Amino acid sequence: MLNVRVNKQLRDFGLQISLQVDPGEILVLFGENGAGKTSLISMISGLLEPDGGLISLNSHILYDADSGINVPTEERNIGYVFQNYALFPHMTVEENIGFSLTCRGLLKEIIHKRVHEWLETCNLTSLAKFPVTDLSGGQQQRVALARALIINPDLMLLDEPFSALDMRTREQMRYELRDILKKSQKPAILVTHSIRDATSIGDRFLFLERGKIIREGSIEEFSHMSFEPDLHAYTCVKQ
Amino acid sequence: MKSININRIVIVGGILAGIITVSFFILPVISLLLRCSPGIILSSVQDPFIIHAIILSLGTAFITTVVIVLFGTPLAYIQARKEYPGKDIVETILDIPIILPPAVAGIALLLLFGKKGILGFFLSEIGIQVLFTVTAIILAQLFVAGPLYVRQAKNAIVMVPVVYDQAGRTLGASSFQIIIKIILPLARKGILSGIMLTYARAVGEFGATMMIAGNIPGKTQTMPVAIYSLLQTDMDGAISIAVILVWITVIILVMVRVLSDRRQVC
Repeated sequence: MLNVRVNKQLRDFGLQISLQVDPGEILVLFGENGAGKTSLISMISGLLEPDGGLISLNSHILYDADSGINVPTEERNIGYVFQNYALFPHMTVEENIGFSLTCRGLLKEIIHKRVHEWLETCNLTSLAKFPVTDLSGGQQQRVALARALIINPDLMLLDEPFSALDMRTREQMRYELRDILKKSQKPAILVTHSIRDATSIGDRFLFLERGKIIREGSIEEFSHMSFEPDLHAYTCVKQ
Repeated sequence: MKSININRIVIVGGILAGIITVSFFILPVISLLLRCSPGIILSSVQDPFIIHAIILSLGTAFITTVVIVLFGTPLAYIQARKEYPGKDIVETILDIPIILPPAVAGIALLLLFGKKGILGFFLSEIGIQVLFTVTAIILAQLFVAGPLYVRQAKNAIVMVPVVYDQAGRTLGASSFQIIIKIILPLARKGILSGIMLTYARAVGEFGATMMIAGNIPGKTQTMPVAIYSLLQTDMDGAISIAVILVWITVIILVMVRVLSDRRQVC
């Protein structure tokens, strides 16, 4: 279980968030661009240091301002799928997926076995030797997911994972992503500003505006909320 | 009608200016190459002092390049990726040797490593002689060519998006692993260009080398210094060495161009 209570002064506003994610639950962080969604997951992953607060994952303290604890990103065991996937362009598909295991100094045979399990899970076996730069958006997303999940993370963070996909691929990938996340039984946070993404994948949502949670609830409640129709659902009408 | 004429004048003027400028740079090189037949080069390079100058220049430039890659790459990484107080000052200090006239660099190094210099005094106390040795040649090359490498390597690292560092960290890579497995491979073409430019600059170093290493044939006489020295006694020898230097430069520039064309990896 993830527990977060953080504050951080960002350039335009102060971010102040408390949240909790249960094992196997997919929490959607919804809101406009610049609402503080990416900053929040950057703080959870350790890429950005909060000004204060506490972050704990499965009872382990990752950050505690009071006692000066700040576990480095590389020791947090959190899977992170970046907005444009951040796949290493000089590596093949299998090298990308196995990168974290190589860094941990595992035996080649073990790395090979685990990489091929994930290649199979994500339907990428035929592309194993391909440079990632030769892949389509959907294939790149699957590589990014496999690369993040192979470390058996305690938490998954996904930052706008569909932003680089066309509409058709997006539709298909939503279900694949939910399926993979649910199978992994890890708590996950999905950042999006798309209603379809939120309702297709999430279990629960938090609506962020200028660094604050202005609404939260189940995805069913989210589905019944009213949105401005002409803004690609960027703006929530407060009820 | 009038605007068409003005456009034509601008285009013709631009082409003429381009031809004059390019000619100004290429004609001296062409005249050098035309003046020297392969036979003259072959007979000149049989002179043991000229052979020594060639080996010395290429060898010291190689050592200089290795040293600056070992020390300059971590510095380039820090300048590209880290924020610290005084970073701009370090940046400016690194630019000084690039714009400093080589003769001034030579005097500065002479004062530093001379027997009464800040470092020279201590070195002479423990019996280490720097001036007029091969070490002095390497120091002069390091001073003049080193900042070129640091600047080039820094620019190459800056071009690697920070998100790859972040991805590496979330995957459990240490800072060292991120540098070795992600940043350097992605920046390798820019870094290789920097290595080659640094080598070319080191091979061609004259002013500072002349001042702190002197012009001792068979000992500290490098190719550029030998050209200067032979101009008065053996014009063919001077031209032969100059032609060899031109070819080294051309080969390096072609390699840099090839690498630069393939540079955008990310």
